[in-house]
Amino acid sequence: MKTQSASRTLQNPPTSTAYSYSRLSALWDQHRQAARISIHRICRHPLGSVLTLLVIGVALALPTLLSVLLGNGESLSQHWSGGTQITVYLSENTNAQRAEQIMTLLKERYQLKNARYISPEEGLVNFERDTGIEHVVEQLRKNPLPGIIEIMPEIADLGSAQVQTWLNTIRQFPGVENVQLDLAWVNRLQEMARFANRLVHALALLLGMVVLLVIGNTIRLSTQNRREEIKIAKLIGATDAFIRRPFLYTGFFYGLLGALLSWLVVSIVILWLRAPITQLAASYQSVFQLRNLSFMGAMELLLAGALLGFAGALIAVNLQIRQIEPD
Amino acid sequence: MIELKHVTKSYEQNRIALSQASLTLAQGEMAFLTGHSGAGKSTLLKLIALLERPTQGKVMIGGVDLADVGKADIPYVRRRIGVIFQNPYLLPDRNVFDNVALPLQIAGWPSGSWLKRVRAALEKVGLANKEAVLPQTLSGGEQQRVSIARAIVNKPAVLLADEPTGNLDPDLSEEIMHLFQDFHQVGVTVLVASHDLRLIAKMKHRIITLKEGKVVNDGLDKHSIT
Ligand SMILES: Nc1ncnc2c1ncn2[C@@H]1O[C@H](COP(=O)(O)OP(=O)(O)OP(=O)(O)O)[C@@H](O)[C@H]1O
Ligand SMILES: [Mg+2]
Repeated sequence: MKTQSASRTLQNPPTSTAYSYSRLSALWDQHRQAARISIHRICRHPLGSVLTLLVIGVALALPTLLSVLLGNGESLSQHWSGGTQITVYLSENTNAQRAEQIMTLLKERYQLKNARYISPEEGLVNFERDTGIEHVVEQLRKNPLPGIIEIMPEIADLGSAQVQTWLNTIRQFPGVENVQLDLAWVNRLQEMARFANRLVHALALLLGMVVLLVIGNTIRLSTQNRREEIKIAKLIGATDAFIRRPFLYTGFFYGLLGALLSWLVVSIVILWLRAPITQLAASYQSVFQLRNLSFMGAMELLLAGALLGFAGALIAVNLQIRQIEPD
Repeated sequence: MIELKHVTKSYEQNRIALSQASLTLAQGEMAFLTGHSGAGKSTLLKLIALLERPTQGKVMIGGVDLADVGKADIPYVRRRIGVIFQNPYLLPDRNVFDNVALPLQIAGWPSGSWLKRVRAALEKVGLANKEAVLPQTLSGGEQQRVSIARAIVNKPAVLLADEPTGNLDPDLSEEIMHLFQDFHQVGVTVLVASHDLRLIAKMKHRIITLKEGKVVNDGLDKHSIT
């Protein structure tokens, strides 16, 4: 290509000198310099930088906190899954012995937290106690209640396809009349979780945009303030990549430090909420402790912050750099 | 080394800054560019430094037609050309050393190699003892010499200067011109725009005179235009 040969003739590549200097270490050198310059710039205006970091930190802390609380809520609902159980209705002619066999079989086949046989007699006693209606059998002459086995699977998501196949299999057991899952309760819980999840996602998206815009605007102002410097650098033969680099590092560091700050904010809030929530749970005879952001979650947060910062800076600097030419 | 062939440059509103200007500078040659204000001196230098593109005609450096140099390749061409303006354009937040090292940094030289080159450049302009100082603490003449050191640190083949002595007193101006002469003597092609006719006449070099965008006189040590 003509253009390439043109530049090559005029170029004086450092590689052709006495320094045995690979392209890779040249790149490393340039990146180190750019990173150093960007840290230098951030530290030069501590007040402005801290304000920017606070905005980013708060913006990232909000969806993070919500998602941490949601995760806690999900584990709490597992704690309280007393209502989410499967009821196995036995046929009329299944006696207590057969019922025990079925229960043992279920326990062997599936991972169950709990399984309990309630004989028709027991069921009647419970019914009379719960409703206050007495002497039902005397009027009906026969106990209308079937024997039941209540089982509580280990698996958290009772709406899953796996549970559906369980139900179908158990229904085929000899001596089993019907199997029921309290789906209404499960569904409601899942709908709520789904709604909360979406809410967190929408918030994360919106506040992620905020971070992108805040960093983009900060970098835009920074390029404006460095117009002269950019012009001089271009005049001396700086490529766009060279000029862009320190700004991209600045955006990256802002995002990363902002995310670090939001991690701190979330941790403090969780710590602050922990004592009252533990007490509240204790009053329900439950041992529950509010969990903080997991290590992986924190890493994701830092990555998201750094990427947003980088992207915001990239957009801003690309819009600006073309407009700034030496004159 | 530098060749302009029938170059015309018109800015917006059909302002013609250069019209059919032709000139050739051999490798290692030194020449002055003069003419009244608005004659097109700065425009001519900008075309060589790829700061502007000609409307018509051809500009060549070292056998390369600048029309073939795409936007992405401009930086690489500029690294082979040292440019000096009336305003030294130094970075106020970096010391003299870092200002002079900037072209090396930009060209991707390892930072370990800067010291020797920057010191050599500063020594040449007589500022060896000022490397740790910030530019604003220097006099105008010293600042201009820093900008010259920056222009030559990368050992460019071509040195362009646009009114480099515009702000300086006669003694300093002469000093600066002698600096350019030194570079010319080590083989750099030098083109200096100036309207200080008294000074450039003293230097005994080729003088190219522009008038309304045309080359009206081109020769050795001649006083021109009225
Ligand atoms: N960017 C520009 N846009 C429009 N017109 C311009 C531009 N730059 C220069 N001109 C015009 O082109 C003509 C030549 O300008 P140029 O700056 O090349 O002259 P000069 O010889 O350097 O003058 P001076 O001695 O004052 O620096 C002038 O008429 C000027 O008004
Ligand atoms: Mg001019």
